[in-house]
Amino acid sequence: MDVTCPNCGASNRSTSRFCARCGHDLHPTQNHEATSNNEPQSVDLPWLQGVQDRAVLPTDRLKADNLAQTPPTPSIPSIPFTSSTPPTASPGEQPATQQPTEPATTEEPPRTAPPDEAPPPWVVSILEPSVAPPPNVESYEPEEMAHIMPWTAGAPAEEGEAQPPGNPSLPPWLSDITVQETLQGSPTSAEETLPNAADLGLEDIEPFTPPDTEDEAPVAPAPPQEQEPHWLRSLRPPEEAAPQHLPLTRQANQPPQASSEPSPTETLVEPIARGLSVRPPRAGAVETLAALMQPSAETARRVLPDALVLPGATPNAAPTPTHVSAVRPNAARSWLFPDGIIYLVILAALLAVLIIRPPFGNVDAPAARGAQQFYNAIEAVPTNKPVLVVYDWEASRSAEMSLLSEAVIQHLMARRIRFVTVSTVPQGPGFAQQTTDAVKSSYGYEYGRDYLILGYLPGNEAALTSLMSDFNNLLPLDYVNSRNVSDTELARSTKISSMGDFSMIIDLASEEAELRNWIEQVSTRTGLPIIAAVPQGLEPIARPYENVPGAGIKALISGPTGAMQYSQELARGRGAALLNSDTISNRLNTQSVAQLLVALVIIAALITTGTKRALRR
Amino acid sequence: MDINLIGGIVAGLLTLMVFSYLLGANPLWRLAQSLFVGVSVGYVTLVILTQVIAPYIARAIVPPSNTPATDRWLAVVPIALGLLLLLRIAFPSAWPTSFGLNIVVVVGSALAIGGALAGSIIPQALDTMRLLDFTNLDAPTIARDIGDIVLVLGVICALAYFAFGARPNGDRPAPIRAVSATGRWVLVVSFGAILGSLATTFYAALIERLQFLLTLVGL
Repeated sequence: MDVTCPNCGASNRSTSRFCARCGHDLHPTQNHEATSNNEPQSVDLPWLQGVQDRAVLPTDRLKADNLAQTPPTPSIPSIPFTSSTPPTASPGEQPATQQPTEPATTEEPPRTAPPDEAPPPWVVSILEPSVAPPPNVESYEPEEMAHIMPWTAGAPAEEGEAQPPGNPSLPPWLSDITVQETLQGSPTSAEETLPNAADLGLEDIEPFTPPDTEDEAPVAPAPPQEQEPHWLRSLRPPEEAAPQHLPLTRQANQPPQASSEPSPTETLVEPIARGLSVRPPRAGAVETLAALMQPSAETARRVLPDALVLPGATPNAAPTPTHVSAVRPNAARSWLFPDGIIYLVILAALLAVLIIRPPFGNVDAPAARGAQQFYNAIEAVPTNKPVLVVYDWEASRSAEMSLLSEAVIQHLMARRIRFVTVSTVPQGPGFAQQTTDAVKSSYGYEYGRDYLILGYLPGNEAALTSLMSDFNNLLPLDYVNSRNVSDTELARSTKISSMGDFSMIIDLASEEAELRNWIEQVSTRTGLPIIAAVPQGLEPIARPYENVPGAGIKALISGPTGAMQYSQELARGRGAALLNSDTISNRLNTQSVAQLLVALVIIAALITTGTKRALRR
Repeated sequence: MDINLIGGIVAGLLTLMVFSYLLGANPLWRLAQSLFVGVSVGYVTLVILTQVIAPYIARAIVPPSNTPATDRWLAVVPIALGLLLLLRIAFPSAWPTSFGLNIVVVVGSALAIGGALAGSIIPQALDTMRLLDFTNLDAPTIARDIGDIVLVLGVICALAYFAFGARPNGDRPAPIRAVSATGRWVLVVSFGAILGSLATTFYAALIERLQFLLTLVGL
C-alpha cells in the first residue's frame, strides 16, 4: 500500500521512511521514536545531521562529480545509527568493515566523538563541494557526451510528453531515486527499476569483467550473501535475466548460440572484441557508463573487418563485394571535400600566377629599413680584415636561404672583402661551396686566396667558445681540398687564429638555436658586430635581438622579400647584377596570392564553424 | 646527356613523389622519404668522418713536427672519450662509458646557461626598460613612445600569465586575473605571428619547387 507524502503529494512505498521526491519524513512519529531509542549520544555532531539531510535529497540534485569522489555509499547509512564505529575512515579505507549489526569484538572502549569534532574529508566533499579538492574528471566534447550519454544530448521529447523534472545530466530512470531509497531498496524495487533499462536499449550490455582476471584467474565463487551489502543485493538482476556473453556478430534480437565450443574464427575474434569492449571503469566517472555501454553486436560488426566476422552467424553478415567497393569512392570523396578542393584551388592559382606572370608588384620600390641597415653594415666593413660568414642553414630552408646567401656573397665580392665560411650544421659547408661557386667567376674570386670554406664544427656552445681562442686547431682542414688551413694563401697573408682576427660575423641561420648560440656565445664575449639573414619564419624570434645594446645583431633581413630588397640596394649602390629579379618578383607575387587564398580559406572556415555552432544552439 | 639535365629530371621526379603525399601515404612518397633520409645520413656521416674524426686521429697519431708534447697527449683525450662512448654498445650500464657524454652535457649546459644570461635574458630585460621621450613630440617619437608603452605592458601581462601564486582556495585576485587574461592574448598574438611567418617560409619553399618544375618542363 502506497503512502502519500504530506509535503509534495508524491506516492511512496509503504516501507519508505522518507519521500522519494522531496525527502520529507513520511513517518515522523515512528522515526522519532526509533531515533530516540537507537540514537547514541554522539549523533549530536552537526556535520552528521548534514550527512543525514543530504542522504534524503533526490538523486538528481547530487552532482556527478561529487558521486565520483565519494566513497561507496554503504558507509552512509551506518553513520547515524552507530556509535562504536565513528566515521573517521578516510576515503581510501574500506567502509564495508563497518558492520553495525555485529558487536564490537575488540576490547577497546567505544569512542565518543566530541560535538566539535571535524568531519572526515569524504564527508566534507559531500557537504561542501567547493571546499573539497576538485574531482579529476576529464572534460568531454558535446559530441562525446552525446555518444556516451545520449539522454544528455537534448534528445527531442515526444510531442506532448512533458520533460521529466530533475537534473538533465541523469537518465530519467535515475532521476527520481534517492540515496536513502537506494540503500533501503529491496529486490522488489530492483525488479521495478531494471525493466526501464530495456527501454534504453541496454539489452546487449555485458557485465564488466576485469580483463586480467577474466582469462587467467579461475572463477571465484560468489560471495556469501551475508557479506554483501543489502543495497548491492537489491541491484542484482534475477538469475534468469543475467546477461549472457553474446557473439559479436549476433543480432540483438537473435537468441544466443547453443554451442559452447567456440569456432576457430570466434577464438580469433574474442580477444579483439574483448579489447574493444572491456576497459576498467573509474568509479563514478563518465567512463563507467561508457564502459558499461559496450558496443553492441552491430557496432562490433561495423568496427571489425569483414574477414573477422563469423561466417553464417547472421543471415546477412557475409561480406558483400559492394561493401568493399563502396570504400574507394568514399575515400576519394572524403579526400576531395573539403581539403582536396582547397589544395587543388590553391595549386591552380599558384601555377596560374607562375605561368602567366601578372604584372603586379613594384620591383623598384625603395628598400625597407632593415635592408638598408644590412647593406650599410657590410659597406662599413674594413677591407683589411676578413669576414666570417656562418652557413647554418639546411636544405629545408633552401628556397629562402640560397637567395639571401647569394646576395650576401655578391656584396662581399663586390667590395673585394675576403671571407671565411664556417658551419655548425653538417650541411652548411656544401651550401657554402655551392653558393660561392655560382658567383665567384663574376668577380674574379679565387678559392684559397680570397676566400676559404672551412668544414663542419660540432659541439655547439663548447665549440663556439673554443673557436674564439683557438681557431686553427678546431678547424685545421678546409672543406674543398682538405688541406691544412695554415697552408693556404689567405691564412699566410692574413692572421686567422682567433675570432678577433675577423671584422664581422654574418650569420646565415635557419634555426633559432644556431642564431642564439652565435649571439650568446660569441657576440657577447668578443664584441664583434654580427648581422643576420634568416628565413621569414625566424624573423619574429630574431627581431628582438636587433640593435640590443651589449648583445645583439646590428642588422637583419629575412625571407625572399629581404633578399629582393637587399639585392636592389646592392644594384643601386654597387651596380651589382640584380639577383634574378624577375624570378624573385614572380615568386613574391605568387607568395602573396598564396597567403591571400589561405587567409580566405581560414575566414571561410571560421564563418562556417561559427554558423554551425549558432545553428546548433 | 648533360649531367645537369639528368640531375634536374631526378630532382623533378623526387619533388613530384614528395608532393604525392597530398593524396595520402603511398610507396612513391616512402621511396622519396627513404632516399632523402639515407642520402642525408650518408652525407653527414662522411662530413663528420673526414672533417672531424679523421683530423683528430691524425693529429694524435701523426702530429705535425712542431707540435708540443703536451698537445700530442691532449689530442688523445677526445679519442679516448669517444672510444669509451662506443663501449656503451657492449656495456650499457658501466659508468665509464658515459663519462664523455656527461662531460659534454655538463659543459654544454653550463655554457648555455651562462650565454643565455649574458646574451638574452639580461640584455632583453634591459632593452625592455626604455625611457619615454617627451622632448620632441613629432610623429615618429610619439609612435616610438606608444610602441614602448605597448611593449612594457605586453611584457608585464605575459609575465603575469605565468605567475602561479594563488590563495589557498585556488583563486587569484581579480586584477591579477585580468592582467593574466590579457597576457594570455599577448602570447596568443605572439605565437600567431610566429606561426604565420613559419607558414610564409613553407609557401616560399612550395613556390620555389613549383617554379623549378615549371622551368624543368620549359614554362
